[in-house]
This record gives sequence, C-alpha cells and structure tokens, in this order.
Amino acid sequence: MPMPCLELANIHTYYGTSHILFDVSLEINEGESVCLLGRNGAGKTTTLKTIMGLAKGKGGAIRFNGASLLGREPYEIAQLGVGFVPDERLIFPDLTVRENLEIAVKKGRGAAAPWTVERVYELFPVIEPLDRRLGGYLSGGEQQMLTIGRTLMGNPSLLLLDEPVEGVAPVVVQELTRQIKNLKGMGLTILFAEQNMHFAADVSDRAYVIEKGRIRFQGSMQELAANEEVKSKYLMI
Amino acid sequence: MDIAPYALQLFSGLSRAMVLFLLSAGLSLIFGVMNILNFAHATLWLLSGYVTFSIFTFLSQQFGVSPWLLLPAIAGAVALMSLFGFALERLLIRHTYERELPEQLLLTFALVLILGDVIKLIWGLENRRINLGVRPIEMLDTLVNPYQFVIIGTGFAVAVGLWLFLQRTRFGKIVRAAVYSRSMVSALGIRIPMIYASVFALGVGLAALAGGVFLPLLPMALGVDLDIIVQCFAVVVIGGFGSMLGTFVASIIVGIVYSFSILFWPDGALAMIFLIVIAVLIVRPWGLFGTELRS
Repeated sequence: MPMPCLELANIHTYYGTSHILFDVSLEINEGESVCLLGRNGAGKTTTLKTIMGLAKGKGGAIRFNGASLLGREPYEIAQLGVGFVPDERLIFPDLTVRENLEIAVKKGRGAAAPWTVERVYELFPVIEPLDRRLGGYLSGGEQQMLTIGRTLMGNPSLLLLDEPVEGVAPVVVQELTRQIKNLKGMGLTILFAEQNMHFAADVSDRAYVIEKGRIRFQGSMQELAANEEVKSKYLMI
Repeated sequence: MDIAPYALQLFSGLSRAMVLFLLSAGLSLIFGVMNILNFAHATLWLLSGYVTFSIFTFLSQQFGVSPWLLLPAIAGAVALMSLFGFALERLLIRHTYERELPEQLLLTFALVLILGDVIKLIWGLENRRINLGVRPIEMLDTLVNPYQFVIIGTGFAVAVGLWLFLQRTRFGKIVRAAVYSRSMVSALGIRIPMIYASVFALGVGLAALAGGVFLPLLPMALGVDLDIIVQCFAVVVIGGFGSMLGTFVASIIVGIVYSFSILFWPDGALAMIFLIVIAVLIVRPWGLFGTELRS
C-alpha cells in the first residue's frame, strides 16, 4: 500500500466571513494523478489555494509527505516541494520568458535531474523561440506552458494544476495534454482542478467531485464515467 | 531679458527634483511591493539628515574639518538607516499588510510623531545644516552654488543605478515580479518576508542618501518632512505608482514647477503642484507612466 503523499482531513476554508470549503478530505498517493472535478464556483481553486497556503484553511489537517502544511506560508510550502500552477497564470508581464523561468529556480531537493530553462524548453519547444519576449506578449497556450514551466523550475514533487487547458486553443489542448502526460510519466504526483471531463478522463487515475464546497464523490475515472447520477447532478454532463 | 532668476530657479528646481526622486522612488517601490503607503518616509529622511550631521560633526572633531568628510558621513548614515529600516519592517510594518489602509496610515503617522520626538530629544529644536564652505560660482550672470550640481548629478546617477539594479539583478527581477503579484512570487518558493524587509531597507537607504546629500544646501528642520512627503505623494500620483521612469519624470515636473511658482506666485507653489495632480487624476488616473491595471 503506497503512502499518501498529500492528505487533507476535514478542512474548512473561509474568505472573510464566507464559508467556502466544508469538511473537505482527500488523499493522493505518490505518483498518482487525481482530478478534482466541479462546476464554476464549486471550490476547486479554493481547495488548491488552501493546500498552497494562499487561502487560510482551518479545522483538521493538511499533510504533505508527513509535514503539516496548515498555517504555513506559501513560500514554505513551495520549498517543501509543492508546485502551484494558477488558472490566472500570473506570468510576470515585464520579465522575459527566460526571466520568468529563472526567477523560480531552486536548488533541487536531491532531485536526480533538476529542472533548468533548457529542460523546460525541451518539454515545451513552442516557447523556446520566445526566450527574450516579455511575458505580457504571449498567447494563452504559450502563457500556460510558461506557467507550468515556471513552477517546474522549483523542482516540485507534487504539482497542483488549476484548469490547465481552460482558455487554450483546441490544437494546443492536444499538445498540452501530451506534455502533462509526460510529466506524469516522470513520476510527478499531480492534482488537477478541472471542469473539462474529457481532459480529466484522459490524464487522471482517480476523481473527486466537489460541489458547494463539499466532496460529493470519490472513485476511479471508470466509476465516475459509469455514475450518471453524480455526473448529471454535480457536473451537468 | 534677464535670465539670471530663471537659471537660478531652474537649478534649484532640479536639485529639489532629485531629492524628491530619491524619496519618491523608495516610496513607490514600497507601495508597489507591499501595498503600503509609508507616511513616515520623509520623516526617516529627516532623521537621516540629523544622523549624517552627527557623523559629520564627529568625524570633523576627529580628523579636522573637510568637506570630503561628508562622503563617509553619508555612507554611514545610509548603512545605519537601511538597517533601521530593515528592523522597522520586521518589527512593526509587517503587521499591517493584512490590515485596512486607515490602520496602515495610523501606524506610519504614529511613526512620524515618534521619530519627530526622537529628533527633538536627541538634537533639540535647532535646525542643522552642514556648511561645506563651497564658494558660489558665476554662471549665466548670477551666482550659483556649485553644490547643486553635485545633487543633480547624484540624482541622475542613482536613477540610472536603480534602473540597472531593477532590470539586471535577480533581486530586482523578484521585486518587479512582486509588484505584479506577491502571492505568486511566494508560491514560487521565494522568501517573500525577506523581500519585503529588503525593499523597505532599500527605500529607507535611498531616503537616507537624499537626506545626507541635501544637508549642505538647506537646513534640516522639524516639520520639513511633512512638506516633502506631500510633494512625494504628488510625484508618485503624477508618475504612476510602480514606474521608476514615471517617478523620475514626475520629480522633475514637480521640482521645477514648484521652484518657478515661487518666482511668480510664492503662496501658490503647492497649489500649482496639486492642480497638476488633479489634471493627471482626471485624464490618466493611473499616472503618466503607470500601468492601467494591477492584479
């Protein structure tokens, strides 16, 4: 039985006085790729932000490789090996593509092959010719690849990907999907926040379904595909 | 036409502009990265002036009077005040980042009063200035204090240096990234509290430089800080928060408009500056060189 790499137990998250996440629990094993499915506003992004320390979780516990994450600052959580790829992308607009990558570089935590700018360009050849372009002048797909690459520069062992193919041209979706599968092949543990059932089915082993801040379903992708009730009730499929 | 008075006002306007730039650059960086308006910024500048004065006096007693002693005095004050700024951020300022603007202003305004009293306790009510004994030179049919050119030169040199620092160094790049999104910078594993403290120390260091450089020209006096901080706010609004080029250009505009207004309408000098501020706020609320949207 593999050890859970990431574990959320009974987490509640508030923005000011509004209660967003209710008693959220989930587990991801090392090397697994899991998606958190839900509609807009269901609490997917908040769940990822809570793990990353960008939203303040309360209640139970968040553990990553045995270390407690609750109450830690985002930079400490990143230094433990969690990488966050936000759906707003937040590419630094007045830094070049290369500078966006270099700013995130960290000495590998014993990683066999630490990420470098060149390795990111190997994974995403599309952005290599844009090396000296400012981050503010990229297409949606290019931005998405750069955002993922920038997070990889910190050599994370767990990747939190928030809707990576949203707002990306259909041809680019195929390419991104292949590259994300590549990352999975390298042994990265991945948690997706996703609305796109097709993409999720293609890249994940297991699914959680979240609605109004509560986990409503968990199971394998096959079980979810067969569960018409969950799909129509919480995902509108 | 007699150009002498205009030349005088131009030089004094430019030297005022350089002091405004050194102060506003720090103010704008601190606001850009930490989103906090440091009302005490000019008071830290004033304190630096007194500290420079004391170091200069001490050195003069040790080694005999020489204008060159101003250089180590300024260097010492910049070092001391940067450390003080670092500590101030770690001990006080950082507690206000999650708070509302009025609370931030309360804290920094309290610092204005406390530091003002500290100055009174240590240096008393007398104004302090350093007389370098530089003789005025004749230029454009008038007598000009050549030290003004030192101030103008220092301002330009620091502007270029600061620009290179922000463009080329890793720290500078992190600062520019943090101006755009602090939380993303933190999520990339960069120790953001260290960046905050360092930016604050850098801002106070620039203010200390301005304080020292300004000493031979005008005396440091209690209350001057409030006049200057108001003009610095005008500079950052006109230039656009977060833009170094904007801060530089706006400093020159405010410095020159102020000194020429004194020639024609002495009582209205500040009013003139605020007319420009109002015009900018109506036409380009994000400032001449600022960016329209901030995330």
